[in-house]
Amino acid sequence: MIDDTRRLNSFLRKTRRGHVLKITHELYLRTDIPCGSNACQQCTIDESTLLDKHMNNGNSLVSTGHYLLVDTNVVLQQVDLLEDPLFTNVIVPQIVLDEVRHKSLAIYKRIRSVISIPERKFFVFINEFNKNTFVLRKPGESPNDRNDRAIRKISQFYNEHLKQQIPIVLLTDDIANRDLARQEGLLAFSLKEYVTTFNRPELLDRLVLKEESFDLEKDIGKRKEIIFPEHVPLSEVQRGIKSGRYLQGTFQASRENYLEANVFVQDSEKYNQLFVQGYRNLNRAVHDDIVAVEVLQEQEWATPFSLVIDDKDDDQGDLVIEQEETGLVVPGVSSKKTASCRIVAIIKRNWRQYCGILQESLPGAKFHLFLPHERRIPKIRIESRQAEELKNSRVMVQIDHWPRLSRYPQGHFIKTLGKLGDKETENEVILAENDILHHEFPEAVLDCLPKLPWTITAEDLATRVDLREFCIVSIDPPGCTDIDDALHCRTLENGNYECGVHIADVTHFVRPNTALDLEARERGTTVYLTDRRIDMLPVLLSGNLCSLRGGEERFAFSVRWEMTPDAKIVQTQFHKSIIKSKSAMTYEQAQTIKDDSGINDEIAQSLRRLHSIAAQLRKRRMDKGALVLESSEVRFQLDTETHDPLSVMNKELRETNWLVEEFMLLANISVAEKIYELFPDCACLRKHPAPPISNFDPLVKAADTKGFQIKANTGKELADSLDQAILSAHPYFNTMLRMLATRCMMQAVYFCSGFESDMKNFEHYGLATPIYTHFTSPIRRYSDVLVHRLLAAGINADATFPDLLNKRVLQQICNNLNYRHRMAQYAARASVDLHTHLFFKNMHTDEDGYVFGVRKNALQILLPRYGLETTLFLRDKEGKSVGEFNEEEATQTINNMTIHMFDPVTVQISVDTNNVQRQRIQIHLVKPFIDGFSVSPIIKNKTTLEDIDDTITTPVKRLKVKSSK
Amino acid sequence: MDTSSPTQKKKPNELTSTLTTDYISGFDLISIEGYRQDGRKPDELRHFRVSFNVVSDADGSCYMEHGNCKLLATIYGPYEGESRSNQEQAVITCDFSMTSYCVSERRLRTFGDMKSQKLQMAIQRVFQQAVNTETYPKSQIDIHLKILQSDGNDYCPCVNATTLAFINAGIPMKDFVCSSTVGYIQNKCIIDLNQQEEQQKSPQLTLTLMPQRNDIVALTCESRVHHDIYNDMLDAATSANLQLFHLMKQAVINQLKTALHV
Repeated sequence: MIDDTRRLNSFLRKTRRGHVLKITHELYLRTDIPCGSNACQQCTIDESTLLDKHMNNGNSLVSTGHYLLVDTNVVLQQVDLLEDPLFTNVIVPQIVLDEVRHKSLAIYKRIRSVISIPERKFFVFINEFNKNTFVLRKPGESPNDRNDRAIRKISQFYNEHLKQQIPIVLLTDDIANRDLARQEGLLAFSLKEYVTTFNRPELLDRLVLKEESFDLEKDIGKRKEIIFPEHVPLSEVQRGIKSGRYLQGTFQASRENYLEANVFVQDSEKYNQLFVQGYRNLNRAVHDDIVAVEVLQEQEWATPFSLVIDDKDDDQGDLVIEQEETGLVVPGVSSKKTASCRIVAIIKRNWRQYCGILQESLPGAKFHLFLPHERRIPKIRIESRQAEELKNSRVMVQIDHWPRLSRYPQGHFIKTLGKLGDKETENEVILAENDILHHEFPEAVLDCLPKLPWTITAEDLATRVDLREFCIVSIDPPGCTDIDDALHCRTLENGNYECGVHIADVTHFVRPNTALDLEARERGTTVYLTDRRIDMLPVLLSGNLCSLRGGEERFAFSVRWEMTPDAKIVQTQFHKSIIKSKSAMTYEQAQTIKDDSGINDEIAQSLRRLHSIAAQLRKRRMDKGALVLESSEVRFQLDTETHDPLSVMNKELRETNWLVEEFMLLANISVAEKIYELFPDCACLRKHPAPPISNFDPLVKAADTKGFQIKANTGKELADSLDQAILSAHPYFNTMLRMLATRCMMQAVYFCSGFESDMKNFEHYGLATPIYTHFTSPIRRYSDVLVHRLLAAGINADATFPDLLNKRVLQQICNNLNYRHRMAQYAARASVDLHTHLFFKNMHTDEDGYVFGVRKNALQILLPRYGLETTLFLRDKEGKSVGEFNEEEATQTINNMTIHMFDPVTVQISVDTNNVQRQRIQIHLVKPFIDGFSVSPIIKNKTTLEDIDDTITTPVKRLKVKSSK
Repeated sequence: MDTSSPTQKKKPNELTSTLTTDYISGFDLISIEGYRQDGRKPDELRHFRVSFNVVSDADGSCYMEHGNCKLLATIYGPYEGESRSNQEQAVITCDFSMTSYCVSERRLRTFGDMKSQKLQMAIQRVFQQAVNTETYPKSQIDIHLKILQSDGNDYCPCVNATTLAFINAGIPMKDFVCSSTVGYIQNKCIIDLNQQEEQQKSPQLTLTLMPQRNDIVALTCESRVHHDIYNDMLDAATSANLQLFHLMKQAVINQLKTALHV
């Protein structure tokens, strides 16, 4: 019920054109807003009434049952602590949520997820619309003070409303607010005061240290100098950016040298990328921050130190600064100066939680240094009382702030991930560092799943085409449980073929805007690690109801083409269907059936027809200039019990692999054309932009050393010249060139067609097709779910929903998907690296490889057997660098022995365990033998694959997304 | 839907942003707790206030406040029409204008534009049907509408105020005419949109109804709406109009009571 109290809230706003608008919003104050307490006699009690009548958490500060009321600053800074199950019966005022949302969306999401758990008893109190708690901003009062007053008012209201039965404890870290509250006779504590009484040290560790405590430290007498220049205030930054004095950009710290970074500048015609060097210039920026920079005078420009620098963990914290800095601004090897800048302000911090270990410090020390796993993040100073216990564990830490006095940012401990070096722990680190969402699916998501046993209803039959009699088969890697595609091909009466691709109908189960849908949208993709799969959809769908298993009736979304025997499409149709796969085959099985002329059943014939069509499609695609690119794809054979890697094998490609691939490409292209035709403004497509010619420089240069000319003006030229670059004496050479070519490519991305004005930009360079999308794997990619919905709505097979045609929402989803895909790839790669390390851990072996890159102080060595690329540092035993680098010819000469690009070498592999955090593969040169540099070969030799052939292989499906796909 | 792709290009950040939670950023029009930005629930009307006889020269007049919208409706007539007027029934004309200060950004020209003309036509047509025009052959009735302050949709308050002005003028009508908007936001129907809610690019529907006869007089829907949600929206709009009808009826009864000193 709306009370008749109505307030108007007027304010002035300046538009972009400079007009001043007066905007008036109404506000209706209500008297029917519940207080959420079960002890209340006035408000209606329902399932949203959360707060207990009797509550006790053992706090000695307030011994009786009480409710906690949190202030904005507590939520913003201490959300880690609030997530602890200790905190229950908490009143979260609406004004606090609004403020948190405004300041940090990430924290808002976290507190919201706590609120959504009923057991936690976090109650959202709507204070702004409540007549009893509404406060009007007084003249001259700042919005902040007004909000503080509003929060105190809530405390007062509850006290009166509950007739003083249950005390309200206001938790605030704002001293002024706390004092005022106490003056008004309210109970108020800082979070630290409240938490200290629980006698749980790990809670205190998670408490965020506040800036003030460091000022205190200074007062005590530990004299500290100001290290960093002050940041310019934000208002001035905005003015500076407008006038062109400052530039805005994303800060990307260097992986190799922690005193160097690049800033990728937005909206500047002059500079794309600016270089930053030295502590003062870096000025407390952390990787991924949005910063404001000032370009330095040309004479102050610095030279990047383009050496691969080994990180050393021997610096002593805050003590060494000046010498280091002056020592580092030494001209590097090449004397090329780069446009440089200094950071003047941080516009937006993009801090997340970091994994790493604690650096050993003096026993009993209160502060410790944390070494992040990610090299681009500086060390973090944290306060911990449990350093002893955490000595050999991976921990997670959050940065809180970075004062000018401190060499390192200050942070706080969040949680332990597990023992260092443990595979489980390391997996956890990979997932956390790559921002992979891998929590269990929440209740709300599981509630959206259909109930078993699942049956096909008459209604389903009426709306779908019945293809159960068709000879449909699926071909997948061995052990695959999420089968999302199946195929068929039959002859028609007129002599044409009818081919069909049938994709699991995921959108039948995943309805838009349900919890399940939002979860999948957030995850974006299924992540394949070497020994683990993190599903996008719960396993009931991904492994059962949506998986097109052999012999079971399943819903599918079908694309059917009528084709002439020479693979010309006569017509295409799209519809939803019911299928019953005749057989779920592996690539190997399918290949055998196809090749065995003795088998002539329906499946074999169908496979042969599919193969003949696919071959023609493939040829046509190659003629158009599609690229065949290489990337080393390896598969580990894992121990069935421990999941430790036993051996490595390169992935084998059969004809049936590309048979399936061709049809998937065709389906994707057909669907892309259709949805673009249906929804030109909001089709979800995938583009792969042509790389700028300069990207190919390394490839052209490398091929040139062997006398081949690579042309890369168009995709077709590139494909042709790659085809011709074959050395008969060096069969692996062509593969290596293709691997190099892969690295020249741009990232393929999803986008919304409404944001691209020109159809030319839709092009998929790698596949040489003007339009492309993803339709064929809705079980493991959310983009395909979007495409399914668009297509279904377009052909009237499914209901629409408002967001379907909202291109802004679509583009935002696409951005997330691109990010998640990239992260999934990084995680997969990191997982392979981890297993490679485990594999070589107890092995000391010689291996053949090729020189794959020549750097100033190192050689990149590629080991084809393991698909492994490692760095061979050119240093002698004392650590001095050896070798003369010839940039023009890409050679290194060591003791008169010249090593060229692509030269075959033999190296000795071992694992360097000196750095516990980042163990790495270490290699030494064996052949060609160079005196004083190489090591002697090991006699006992190579493990053989045959030994372990009988172990079961864990499938690593499409481990590395080939860039051609 | 919006076709502002050129303006999009100016902001490269939007396309390159990798913020994972972008699509839930901004503010919710309906909070998770179920309140709208102004404290209403989805099925509640804005504040509604009417006063009659505000222009004594006119035959009927009504000043109405609906939310932030303030307007004046006056009726002149029926009077003897010009020679071209209809022999069978009265002709209704409508003159709609806005003050230059009624929207947040001042405009110089506030009459005769496309929007006003369309609105005039629509109101004329609605009341041509609702008023018992055959009672007044060869005559003309003029509606004058002046928006003093605008809050989103102008059409609905105009229709409602005109109805009340007709009643005030004592001109017989078939029924009240009520009009109200419904929006579909975050998978919920919300009724009686204010300006802020209307600016969202979400499906919206405007229903003009004769509530006692349950006749739809006019129905406009300018966005694409799927038929699955269309019925829900129509139901919500009908109930909104019924709420509105009760308020209007109450206003008329109160006015009568004061006039008769009951």
